[in-house]
Amino acid sequence: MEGILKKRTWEPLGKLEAAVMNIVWMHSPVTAREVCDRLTGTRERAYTTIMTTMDRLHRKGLLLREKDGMAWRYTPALGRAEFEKAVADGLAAEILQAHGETALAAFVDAAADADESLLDRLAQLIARKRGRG
Amino acid sequence: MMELLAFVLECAAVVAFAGTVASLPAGLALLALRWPVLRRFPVLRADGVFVLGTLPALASLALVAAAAAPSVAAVLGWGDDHCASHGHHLHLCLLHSAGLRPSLAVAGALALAVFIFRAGAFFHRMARMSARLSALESLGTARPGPFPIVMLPGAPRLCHAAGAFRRRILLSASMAAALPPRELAGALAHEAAHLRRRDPLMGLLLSAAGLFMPPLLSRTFLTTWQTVAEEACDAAAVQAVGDGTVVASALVKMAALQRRASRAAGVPAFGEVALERRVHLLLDGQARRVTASLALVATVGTAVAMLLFALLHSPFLHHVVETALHLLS
Repeated sequence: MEGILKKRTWEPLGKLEAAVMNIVWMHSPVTAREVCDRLTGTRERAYTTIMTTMDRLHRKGLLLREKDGMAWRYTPALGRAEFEKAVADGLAAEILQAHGETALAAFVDAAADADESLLDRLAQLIARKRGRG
Repeated sequence: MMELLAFVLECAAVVAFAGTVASLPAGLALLALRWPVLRRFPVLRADGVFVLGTLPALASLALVAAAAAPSVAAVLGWGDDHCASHGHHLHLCLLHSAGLRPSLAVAGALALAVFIFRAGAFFHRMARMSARLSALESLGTARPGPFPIVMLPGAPRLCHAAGAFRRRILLSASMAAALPPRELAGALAHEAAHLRRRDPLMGLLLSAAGLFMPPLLSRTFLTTWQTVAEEACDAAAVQAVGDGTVVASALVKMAALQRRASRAAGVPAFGEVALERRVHLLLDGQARRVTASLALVATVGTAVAMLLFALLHSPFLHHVVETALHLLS
């Protein structure tokens, strides 16, 4: 299961999804009713909205769930740090691919094209230069 | 209504034709910037490529402004109706169109459709990328400094200068951890040089200017400018850390880290030839002059000069454009 999760590309969460996930990460395992009760202030939402959001997060593979009486009890499929790393990796890969004309300038942008033997050869060249210097 | 449509299509044809024609000498001039002597002046070369890359857009816009000025001025009440002085050739006028010729209508419609498609795709990509960057940055933590450094989670992929206006450096924390401090300082000096030069803004402007020239030439200008700008920033990084081997080593280590982390097949832009070339340039021990980039100032100056020239000679240019459209259609 963990292997499959690591290979997936995660999309950034919407505001409500992020608020729900924060509660799940802090208080897991939780039901939709418990999440609803913990959302306060501007994040306060109807129980049905929270239930739908948690169902969507479950379908996305971010939440695992098991029956607890009449309700579902949810746990996160991966930790917050692991999730953020995976999202960052997906976003970074996309940004790198589109880098050619975005408002970005990279120190190195040849990674996927440069083969291992070239990199080895260049590393040896630098080492020789340092040796002579 | 027909007058307006005819005027818009004729102007679109003029912009497309002038942009294409102007991009050919600009492309030839680009070859001159490969002169080996200029390799010692990477900033000058980068500025030259940028100014050349924006010239076709500026020239075509100035020409269409000059051509449209008489009738626009008449509509706004700033000038007399110039129509009485014509009649022997096609009439580019918002008020009294002489009728749109079929070949010109097709050329104008095609030029307009292609421009709208390319511009739409460009802005869509920019908007999407801006959203992706915001999402990515929300996961990181910013370190204050002359240019803030946003430390990002995830695999070692990013060491990028970002922001056309809100300038900052995006750095994968894992990349920072993997490099010795001096090499990291070299990489950051390189990125800071990009931001001082305002390369992210210039990249966007050059891409936008590329909409006025054929796609292949536009891509050539952008790639050439990016490569030369990298060399200019490499020179600035060498000046900052005092040793070309440190910057070259950082470059190779980062390429290796990125390669291992990347699942993307084939990142566009510079390629391995550029990487090898940059390393050789860093190791050759030749001092390269690092000065402030004047590309933006030069481009704004050129734009103002061109527009003033075009408007001052508007009656003549208007007549030239009408004659050219008459003969070509």
